[in-house]
Amino acid sequence: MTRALLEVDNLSIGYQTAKGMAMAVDDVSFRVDRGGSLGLVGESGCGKTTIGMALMGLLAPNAKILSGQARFEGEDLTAVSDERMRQIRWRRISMIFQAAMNALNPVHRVQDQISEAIITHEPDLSSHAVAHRARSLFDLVKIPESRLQDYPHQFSGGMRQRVVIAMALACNPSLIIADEPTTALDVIVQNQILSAIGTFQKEMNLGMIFISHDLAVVADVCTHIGVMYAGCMVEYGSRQEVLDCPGHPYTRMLVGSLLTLSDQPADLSGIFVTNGENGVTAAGGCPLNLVCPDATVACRREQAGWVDLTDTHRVRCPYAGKGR
Amino acid sequence: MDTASISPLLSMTDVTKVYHAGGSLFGKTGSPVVALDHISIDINPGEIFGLVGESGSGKTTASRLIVGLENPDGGRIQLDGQDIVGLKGRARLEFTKQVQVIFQDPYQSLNAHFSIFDTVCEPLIIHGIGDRVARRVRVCEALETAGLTPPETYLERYPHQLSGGQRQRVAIARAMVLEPRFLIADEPTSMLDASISFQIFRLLNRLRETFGVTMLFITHSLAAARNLCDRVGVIYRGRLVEQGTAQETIMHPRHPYTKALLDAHPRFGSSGQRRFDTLLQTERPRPATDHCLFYPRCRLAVDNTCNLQAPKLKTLDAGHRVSCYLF
Amino acid sequence: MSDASLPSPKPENTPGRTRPHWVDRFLGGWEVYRKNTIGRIGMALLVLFGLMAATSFIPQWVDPMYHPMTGVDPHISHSTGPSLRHWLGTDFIGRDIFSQLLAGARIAFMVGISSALISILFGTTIGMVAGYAGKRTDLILMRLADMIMVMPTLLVVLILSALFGQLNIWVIVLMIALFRWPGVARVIRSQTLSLRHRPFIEAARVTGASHLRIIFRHILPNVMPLALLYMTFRVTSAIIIEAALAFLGFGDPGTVSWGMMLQWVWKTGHMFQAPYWMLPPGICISLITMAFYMTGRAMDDVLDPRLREEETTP
Repeated sequence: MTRALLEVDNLSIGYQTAKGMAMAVDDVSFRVDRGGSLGLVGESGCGKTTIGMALMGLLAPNAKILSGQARFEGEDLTAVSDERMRQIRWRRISMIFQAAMNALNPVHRVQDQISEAIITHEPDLSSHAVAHRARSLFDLVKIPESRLQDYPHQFSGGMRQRVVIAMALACNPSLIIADEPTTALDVIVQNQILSAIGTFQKEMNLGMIFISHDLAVVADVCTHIGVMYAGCMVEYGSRQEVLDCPGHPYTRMLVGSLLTLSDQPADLSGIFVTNGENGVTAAGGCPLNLVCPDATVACRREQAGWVDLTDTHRVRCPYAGKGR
Repeated sequence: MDTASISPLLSMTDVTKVYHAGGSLFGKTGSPVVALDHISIDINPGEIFGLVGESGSGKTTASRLIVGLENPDGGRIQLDGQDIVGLKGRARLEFTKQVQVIFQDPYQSLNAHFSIFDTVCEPLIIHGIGDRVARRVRVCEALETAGLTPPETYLERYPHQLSGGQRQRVAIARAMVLEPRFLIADEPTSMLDASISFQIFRLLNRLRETFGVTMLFITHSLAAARNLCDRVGVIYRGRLVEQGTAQETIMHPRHPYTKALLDAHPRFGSSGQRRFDTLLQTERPRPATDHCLFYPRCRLAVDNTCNLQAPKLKTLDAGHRVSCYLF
Repeated sequence: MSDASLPSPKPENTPGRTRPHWVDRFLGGWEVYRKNTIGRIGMALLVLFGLMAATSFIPQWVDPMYHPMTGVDPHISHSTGPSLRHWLGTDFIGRDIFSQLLAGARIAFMVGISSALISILFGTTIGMVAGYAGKRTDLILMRLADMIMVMPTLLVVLILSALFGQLNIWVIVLMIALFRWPGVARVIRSQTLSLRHRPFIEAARVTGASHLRIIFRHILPNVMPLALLYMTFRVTSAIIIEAALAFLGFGDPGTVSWGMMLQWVWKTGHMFQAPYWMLPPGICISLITMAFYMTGRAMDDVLDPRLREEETTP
């Protein structure tokens, strides 16, 4: 029984707004093992990015972790001091942000930016060591060394994303959080990035949390999948379990709406319209009770508890497994 | 699938568009970028034609040329046999009633200062259709068709109060309110979440079934094209490299680029098994002469053939066309 | 796509409870404006001057001797200092200075706002047309704007006044406006240029909207905030120019403006003898221009982050 790299238990995060406390993440639990990867899937606003930010200690000033723990290599990230968080950030956990390829400074050479990332978090390294590390990072993400001296605008979108990935790997973290790393990239480039991510993850035995709205992308890359809606996790299991036997109606809807290249027509029986109106509802009850076709009075009244379908697969719906 | 007897609703013949990057106001001194290179596409009435390509392939340029936002530098575009390039005045107004567009970015294609009613009603006002009462009815019908029910609750709302998927539905309602004969959907879901995409595709299909509207569906996803389109054209850097029925093109792709696109498509579960592997890891240098544009990346390329002259579009069987020396 | 910074559900999703976009923005902007100290001071000053202008009719209604132009105190016929009868004293022929000050406030607002309005109307229209039409039209209009911008307004108006004799206040207003529109036009033009290629404008073109419709229905609402902002700056320059003209003796002799008051002080040789007469109009001119400027700056702060916020949804 390997000790998990990251164990999140009952994490709840809220934002303090003018209108009161708005829940962004509601009682979410999952684990990530070394070498394993968890895909957090859900529509915009479901809270998946908030979780990533919380793990990095980068929540907005008006956000509060209301309850729960996030144990990373034994330490509870929700309770560490700012100083300790700064030491952990980038050295033990790093992040590939959304649209990160647009976040590169256009007036600095790429090598300088990577070096800066290294030096900021490991100030004791000699400049020789830093340069060497930058070169090997580029090697890892398969960009020719000769491009180190170029500026960001001289790279294509896909290559810039690889630079950003290299920066995230700069200090040899054990856990990487990738937030929509392939959105806005073309299919072929997306595929290259995903296989690059898969390769270095195996080589460096990293844990990974892959945040995306696209189940297809996550399904290709991750060992485990967690489905989120309106701040709650509604299903959690291994990739095979979630894709082959989705228990929650929302997961079934996501799986059903996967655009396949196969000859079989898609199974449209589970489709319902969510209209993308996501966000934690104030009323108790399952957040999907307004749109789910199988919703009952009980669903409107209270949020269902977890139902274990197998040892590793659990669903937050009382009708899990039925009506498939 | 003999389409020879049906005359196409929209046809582009040898259309070319060249941009001059870096030119000044007074002289076209910039280096030319060929966005479209002698493209010929025929779209038959009632069908959904998918134009598949990556960014920079010229697919969006094609849609802009069709609706007249820009003019081609060569070739002809015809709607029902009539030339539609450079229309002005009355003729253009008539044309806009027949051809409409759904844009890619639902967050920018609606005027933030217009209510939903204003947005969907504007086409009716521009074309002088109906009176106040009749227009309201038509707007509600259009919103309902687009899946926004009950429509009355949406009339007075503003775009910033709606989600991305809802905004795109409003854009669809706006495009359909004039009941056009031809609809261009330019990557309508690339800015939306994957689960919403599917719902939009179903809507587009329903529109075709209910109204018989012919569609040009522009996308970067072969899977989306497979699910929605009857026929598909694959475009690479301004040239059409393959064209055929959606089924045939995706089940039995011919062109190496189409194969590369298919390989790159996420396949959940059965990972590791790439079927075609037609892409080179590192690109070859681009030849100075005319050549097949895919040559630098093509694993199957033949020297002294592919790098000397661009291949022509050849018809294989049953209307399937490929532009590759391997066929 | 994930909106980590927008956690709460959109509260306006309940049908029926809707507000027009501009109301939302206005109220939101007001929230930001309120917190801005400069804006608060500016607004307070403007309210003060506004009250002055509004109450300018009262003194002469109380007693005709308080009329700023024609009111003559039967007992006083020269400049006197502040007293109970005349809170700021009297001018060289016994007219009440305080009521002149109030009347001046009225004139300042009138001149400032109407001149600014004309500038904005003109400048916005030309800016939008130039930005939207592009090419030759843009070139011609902007060259015209440059030519006018380069001319020293005050000097030219002075020369015209000298040529045509004493000018009516409204002619002055018009002339100031005609020299001040290029600045607005340039700014509106760049805003229009950036809007021109936005998808919603292209959508309107595809729908068949005429150019006129696009300019006035689609572009105008988007440039309006900027135009209004620049209006506040136009007001300041209009007031100063009118004051300068009046002071130099080229104003409208039938109107009592602060500049005109200063002219009388100077002409009648009371410049350093009657601080109670000289100081108030001078201070008022400075304060009102400062007030408008502060308001404009605060509005600027309101507009910028809001504009940025619009761009980055979702």
